[in-house]
Amino acid sequence: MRRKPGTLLPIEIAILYAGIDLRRRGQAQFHGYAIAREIRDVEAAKRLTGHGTLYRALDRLETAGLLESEMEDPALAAEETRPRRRLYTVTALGERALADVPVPSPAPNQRPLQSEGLPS
Amino acid sequence: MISERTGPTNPPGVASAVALAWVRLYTLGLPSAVRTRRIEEIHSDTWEQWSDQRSANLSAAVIGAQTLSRLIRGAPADLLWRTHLGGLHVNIHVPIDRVAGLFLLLLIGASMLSFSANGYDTSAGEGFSDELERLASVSGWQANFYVVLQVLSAFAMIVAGAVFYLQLREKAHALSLVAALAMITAGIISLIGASLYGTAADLADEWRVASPENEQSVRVVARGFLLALSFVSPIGQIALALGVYGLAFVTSKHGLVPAKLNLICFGSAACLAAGMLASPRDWDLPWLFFSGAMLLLATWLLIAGAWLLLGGGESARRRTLQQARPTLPGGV
Repeated sequence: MRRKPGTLLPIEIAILYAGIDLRRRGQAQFHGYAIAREIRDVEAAKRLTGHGTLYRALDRLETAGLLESEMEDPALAAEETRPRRRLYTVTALGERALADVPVPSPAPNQRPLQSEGLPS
Repeated sequence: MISERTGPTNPPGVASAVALAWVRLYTLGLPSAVRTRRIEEIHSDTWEQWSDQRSANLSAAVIGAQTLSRLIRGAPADLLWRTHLGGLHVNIHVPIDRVAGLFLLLLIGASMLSFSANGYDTSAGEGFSDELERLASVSGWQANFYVVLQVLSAFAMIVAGAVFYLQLREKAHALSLVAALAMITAGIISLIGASLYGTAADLADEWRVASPENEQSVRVVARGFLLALSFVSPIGQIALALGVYGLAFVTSKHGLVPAKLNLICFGSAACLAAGMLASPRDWDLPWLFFSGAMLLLATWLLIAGAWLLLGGGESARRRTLQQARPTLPGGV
């Protein structure tokens, strides 16, 4: 079944929340694995999000303008001897889209979401 | 620590290699920028995961298992993403006409084999014990081998239906869909036939060693299975024939095989119709017509398959393109 335009899937909401939460903690940009780890920690889940699920959702959010991305400076990756990261940022549109979503009540073992920095 | 063998930016471990192989596979044929982006992201992700979890003192086996788990759980989304971007069309050079030709030739064997088990002659009321005796005389491994071949040929029909639909859907969507569904139905019926045959063969063995009080009940059950087989087998044949007729029409219409070959299919269709209309009381006549229809069908598959396999479809397409090419002023 097709979803209504403008509605967000749970994985998309989780990505946007996690992205804003990371920014609140001083990390304005995030890469794919960082967001998978963040979602796992916030939801107190045992497993990291599947590759396909994560990157398909990131792709959708970017296409919808809720995220934007850029490749990091190759010199930095070379300096740290690791592959280059694609760095994502939650856009103002992404924040507004999240404002329409009710804040979920955390599960008993779940880390509470920080409302600071989130759109009201 | 990253081992030197794998290089500074390649995450070590079989699981990471599998994840990278998988992303390379499902992005085949996509535009270079899209493909490179997805490969780079998975490459970076597996490296980051390795680096992060290694620093948390997780063992290589656990990290590998988690990577594989992420790959498997995300695979349906990968395929959906791929299908959304470009369907299942693969934009790499594959001599698709020749592959199609090969499939047509394979279908000959598959169709003949799948429908060679026709149950038994229901008109011979008293002959069933002989039939069961014949079935029981087939050794266990022969019966199993036959069932395996039937199952393989059934899968060949299902795959052929899917392949032909994917290749021909842009030329004639509705007709290629109908032809593919007919072929897939034939494959499914062939699978049912294989299981009926296998069960009947087992029952025949059981019947041979059954005690006098059980012999009758085993015989009745075996007869039921063989009756069911003789019922489904013609349906499968008709489904396969319809699939091949549809395929013949689409391929000839678009110049992939010579249009004259359609005469063979017309002959086959006429035999099939005559077989269905012939009086069921006279068992020989419908059987003769059905056999004629299948023989003509196999003839079409043989000629069309060989034509495509030897490159006839490609040269026909080139001729069409040359004819369609506009002539520039001055005869250039």
